[in-house]
Amino acid sequence: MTAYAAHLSHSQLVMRRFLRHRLGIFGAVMTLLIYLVAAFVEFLAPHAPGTYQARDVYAPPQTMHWILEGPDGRRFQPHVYGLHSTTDYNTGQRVFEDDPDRVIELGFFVRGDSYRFWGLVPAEIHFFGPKDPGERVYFLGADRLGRDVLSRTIYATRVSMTIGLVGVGISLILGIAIGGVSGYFGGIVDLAIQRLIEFLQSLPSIPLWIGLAAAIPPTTPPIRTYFFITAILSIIGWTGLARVVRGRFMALKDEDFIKSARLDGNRPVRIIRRHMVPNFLSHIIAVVTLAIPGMIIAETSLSFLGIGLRPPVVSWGVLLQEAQNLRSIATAPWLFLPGLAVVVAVLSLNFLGDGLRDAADPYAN
Amino acid sequence: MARFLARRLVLMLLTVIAISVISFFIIVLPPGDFVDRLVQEANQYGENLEPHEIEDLRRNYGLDRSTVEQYFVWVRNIIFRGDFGYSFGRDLPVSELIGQRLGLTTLLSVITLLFIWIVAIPVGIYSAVRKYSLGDYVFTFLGFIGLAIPNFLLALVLLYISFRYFGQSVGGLFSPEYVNAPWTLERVADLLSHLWIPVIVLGTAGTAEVIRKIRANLLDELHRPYVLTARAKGLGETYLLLKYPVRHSLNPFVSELNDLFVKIVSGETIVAVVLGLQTTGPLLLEALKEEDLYLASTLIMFLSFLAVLGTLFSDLLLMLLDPKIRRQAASQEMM
Amino acid sequence: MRTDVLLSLQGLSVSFRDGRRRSMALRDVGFDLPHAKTVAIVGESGCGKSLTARSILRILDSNATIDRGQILFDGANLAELPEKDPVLRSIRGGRIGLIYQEPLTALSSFYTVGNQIQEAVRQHQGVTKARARERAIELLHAVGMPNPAQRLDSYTFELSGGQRQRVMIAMALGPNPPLLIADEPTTALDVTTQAVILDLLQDLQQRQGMSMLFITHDLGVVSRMADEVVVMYLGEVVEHGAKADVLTTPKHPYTRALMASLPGRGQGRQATIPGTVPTLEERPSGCSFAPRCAFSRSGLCDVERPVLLRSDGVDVRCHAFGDAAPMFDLSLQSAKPETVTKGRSRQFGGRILGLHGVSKTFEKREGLFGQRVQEIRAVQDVSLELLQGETLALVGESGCGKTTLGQTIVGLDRATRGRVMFGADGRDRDITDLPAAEWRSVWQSMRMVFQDPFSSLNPRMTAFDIVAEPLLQSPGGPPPETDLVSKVHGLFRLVGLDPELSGRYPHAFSGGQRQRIGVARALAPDPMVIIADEPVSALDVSVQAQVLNLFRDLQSSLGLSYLFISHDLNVVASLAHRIAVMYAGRIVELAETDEILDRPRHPYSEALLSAVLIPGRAHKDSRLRLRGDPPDPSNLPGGCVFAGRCAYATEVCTQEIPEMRNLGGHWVACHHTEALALRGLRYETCAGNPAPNS
Repeated sequence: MTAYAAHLSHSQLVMRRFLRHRLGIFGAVMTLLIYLVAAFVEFLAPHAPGTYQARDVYAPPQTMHWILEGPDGRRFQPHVYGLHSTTDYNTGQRVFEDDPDRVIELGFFVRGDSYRFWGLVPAEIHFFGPKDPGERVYFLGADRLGRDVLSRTIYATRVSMTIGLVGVGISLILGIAIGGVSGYFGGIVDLAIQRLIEFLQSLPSIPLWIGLAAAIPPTTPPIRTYFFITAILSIIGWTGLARVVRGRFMALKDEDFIKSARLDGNRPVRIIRRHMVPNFLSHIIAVVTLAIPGMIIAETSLSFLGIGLRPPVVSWGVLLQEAQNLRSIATAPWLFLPGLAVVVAVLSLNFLGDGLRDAADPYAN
Repeated sequence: MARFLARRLVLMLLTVIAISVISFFIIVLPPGDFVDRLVQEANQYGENLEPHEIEDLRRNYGLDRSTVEQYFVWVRNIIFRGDFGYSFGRDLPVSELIGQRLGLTTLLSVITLLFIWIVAIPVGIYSAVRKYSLGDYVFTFLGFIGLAIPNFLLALVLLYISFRYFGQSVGGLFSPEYVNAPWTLERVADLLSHLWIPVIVLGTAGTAEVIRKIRANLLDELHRPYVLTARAKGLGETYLLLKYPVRHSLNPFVSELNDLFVKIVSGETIVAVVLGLQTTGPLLLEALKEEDLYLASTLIMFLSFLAVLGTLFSDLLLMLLDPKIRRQAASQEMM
Repeated sequence: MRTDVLLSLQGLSVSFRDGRRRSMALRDVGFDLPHAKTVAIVGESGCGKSLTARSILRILDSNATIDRGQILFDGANLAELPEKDPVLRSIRGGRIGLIYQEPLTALSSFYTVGNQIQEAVRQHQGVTKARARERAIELLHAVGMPNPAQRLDSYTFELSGGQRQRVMIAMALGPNPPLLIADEPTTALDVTTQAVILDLLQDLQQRQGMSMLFITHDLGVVSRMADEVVVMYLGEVVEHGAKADVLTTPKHPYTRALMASLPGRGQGRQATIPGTVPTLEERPSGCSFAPRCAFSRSGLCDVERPVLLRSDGVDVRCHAFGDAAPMFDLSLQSAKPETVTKGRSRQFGGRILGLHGVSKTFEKREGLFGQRVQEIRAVQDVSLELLQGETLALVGESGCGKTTLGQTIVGLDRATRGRVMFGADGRDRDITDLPAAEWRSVWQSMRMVFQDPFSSLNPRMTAFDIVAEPLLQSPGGPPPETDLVSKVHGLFRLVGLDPELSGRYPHAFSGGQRQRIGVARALAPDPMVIIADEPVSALDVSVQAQVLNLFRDLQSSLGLSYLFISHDLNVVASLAHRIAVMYAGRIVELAETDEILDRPRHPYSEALLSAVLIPGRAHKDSRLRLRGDPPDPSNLPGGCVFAGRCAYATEVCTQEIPEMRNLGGHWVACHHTEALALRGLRYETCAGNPAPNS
């Protein structure tokens, strides 16, 4: 260990090492941004997720223009042109064109669809959108009912990203409880739990998930479905975390400084809290971060199959259901965009997790 | 060795029993059954079934008995008559419905596994030995992308691309004319020509994961003392790399092989639905939605069983590859 | 260049690259290796010994590069050969063999040892497979492997440590190389195994007329093996000459200090070298050793780097032997301690710790559901007493159960049978089955110091918190804040650390400093007994002396009792009042230190003593060697545990467990002890400490 690091604490060393991991930093920034989006969906989305406009069915993404030529000269004014649709009688498809006469001016902090922030605070200010509350804008196109794909993708961020977090949270609680019991008692208990984990891990998870998810009656209220789905994902998700927790626990238990902590008169609870947890916390955080993407993908997959979350809940998987048949994606490839959101989120979390994992052991080379 | 195998088989038998219980109760325990669904459907058409009619229906389907009883009847019939029950939804014995589909699922899973090996092992070795080279960065980047794209999304994108740019639908495992044809060489050829898309879709995430694992394992091994020993012996660099560190790094990979296979079998369900494959996936999904008890249970049981076979295979492979385990197996023989 | 020279290093410099920083790891290393001779490179960890060996074979890691210098061998300059040169490859293994420390990790566990030996043979001799196999059997036979033909098909994990090292040697000797580089070949082995392997190496060298470059940190091994000695410090050769010159009349202040700091028998405080070896990045300007040197002259030593000079047939890199010699008075022994040779005064208090028939058995579960239970009998029927103010050493080889015994006494493991009594002045009580809460009060007066200074300190706590922990957790409640601070700072001063440093985290301290923190933590609740489990074996010789002195000082000032667990008889001989010898979980002999060292009464003690290497002494006479390996603790033989390896065993030994008998204060468990005349350590040439002015 070099001298210039002498005054740093362990956590500072971990931080230093993490800051040197460029992809990790990138992942951290992206993850933070995504969760910020999830926190402020109502404000950030230009429209409410459920509002639709029949004449804009499958409207393509609109291009934003910056400079508006008005009677009083050129001025900076972000705007889009209204859409004009005709039906191509040969193919039976609707064709959209910009209508240069209809300028939809855009602005920041505009009034639009009213909403309740976090379901509590009523408001109607949107971060960015048409100045005229009656107008609509589709940066990422519209779906088969004429709903704004961008707004829906933003709304879905909250559901999909939290389901990963909550699912991993439940898994972690189960994992720590069961893994801890396994590590603490050892012997037969440990053996039985290890066999159970091995068994569960040898089962194909998706058929089981489908089996369990299919049992949720379609009439179940959205909140409860959300809860069921996280519970289902955690039923299998805990095994991996329990293994890691137990492994770390077992390895630490035999470290001399833990023995020493016992001899210093620490009680078991304090040994765990003060001596063990700080030493495996960073590993656990890394493992947890790396487990979230799996949960997100699992939720997305289930919802995509139509047995996870269901409309009117918007999650990335629910949105991708729109892209399920070839015909709709051929007409409106922008329906894939929620998929891009999934990929970006999963990538960011993976980068972050990798960085954390490398940083968790600051003394290794 | 025989004893080792026997132990594995006993373990497998226990696992299969546990699997059958889980497969059955996962379907049965939630409220509602097939008859409820019939009643619901009838209601939608404005028909109201009398309570005694419902009773009769239940009795017909054997749903009036207790769950535990149903389970034992099901298992008894499987063991003694090879009868996996009856599909309510399709009015056919389950065994007739699943035979070919199971075969195709197995085939697809095994080919995907081989595909992953063939691609990932050389790439992983390359990435580790040429750490931080351009190639390593490219593969690492592709690996991250591969891990981040959900299977079904990749399937959708491939479908879209082939439809949009090649103007053809690539779904399914057979061209329309071969779907119900008897097995001929032409049909096999047709199957093989369709197989590559599902294999790529299913194998991408696994390939990415295996590349990362092999790279990490091999990087650990490259600096072990035994590599130094080999080098100090004057062995050629390529030869010693392959003989020592690569060989060592494959071991943890083989022991995790069952995880990989389980993931493939598991992921196949969704991919098959998206790509419209004639495998177990779509059938399972429908059976679950219809609460088609025996069909769904049997399918879940077989898929789990397939995964367990994969575990057995990886154990055996590990025994062949790892002298330590081989010696342990041999010493158990003597006791 | 001398004509009889096989290998010649000249001005070899090697540096490491870490990001943008470069640090010089070898600096102008030069020496010659004559035909059929052994040159030993000796130095503390980080001095560049192993790096020299790797440079010669050109098997450096990718972050190390040879900057300058020549490695002349077989008429070629190995330092300049391109990486893939076929000459280089034919020299590796073919002309220069290499064996090194950990034979377990140095061999692959995936191929049989036969495969790995034959590979070496075929690589350089181009013989058929069948011939290579024959040759491998010959080689295994030559290195004294029992049943060589069968062993050929073994894997490393089926062999003992000594057997693995034999395989390594056979592999290195396969192509009959004229030069063998042995890099700490016996460091991971027990002393008795080490003795056998060293015999083997010397024997092979003489038979084959081979040269040997022997790298070690152990001056005892140097005495045993070397013809010439190269002393290295921080990547430089500081002294080079014939063994007799370098070890008995060392010139360089570092060599002098190193020799003086060796634990000697029955001495008081040892000489030490202040400070620790700096890291490569912190290399001092001028003479690298100057900051730790008792003779250094400011303005010269800290400015100008001395050259390697020839003085009385020895090469020395020190200003005191050059033009500036008049400035130095090397007879001044400021490195020598105030010799308070107290001898072994036997004025101890009463019993403070008593063990009566203590056994510890571990259960190992096997099988699918843990149905098969295997008993590992780690400690069996141990009885002993520790007196107040006494140091009782527990010696034995790895796996003999000494660590388990220590942990059983402090209650980290619970005794399976027997009683542990603890307490001073007759107020002792049985602590074997205490409830957890009462153990906590016992742990205030019976403390432990661990072996590994890196794993025994919590990396997430500051040194202050680590030392304060036992005070905060004391059953009487934590002391007031101000008392705590002054108490902890007092403890830092007591163990020779600056209290200013107490806010740092463990990673900022060196190994020796960490061990001091460990000692301070043990002392915090004012204990009466300290159980020290190999507290100095992870430390370099010079640091080891500092920590041993600390143990001595604390005992004389605080009246502590030590149970000192160690495998190193040299350390034990210098510190302990009494010694208990352990073998396969049992104590086989227990007596006062001088008694055991001079008049051992158990055949195992005799074997152990004859394997001990004392620096500065010729060891050719001692030819008592143990065959085979200790018994497996899960499958112990009936009768005497040592019978299988004992030269004096008779039928009764394999059938009856010998009782522990008291022969005039000398306890021994052997059926035949009265009939045996066993040899102890004999210091007839030069006693213990061979430093010149002692």
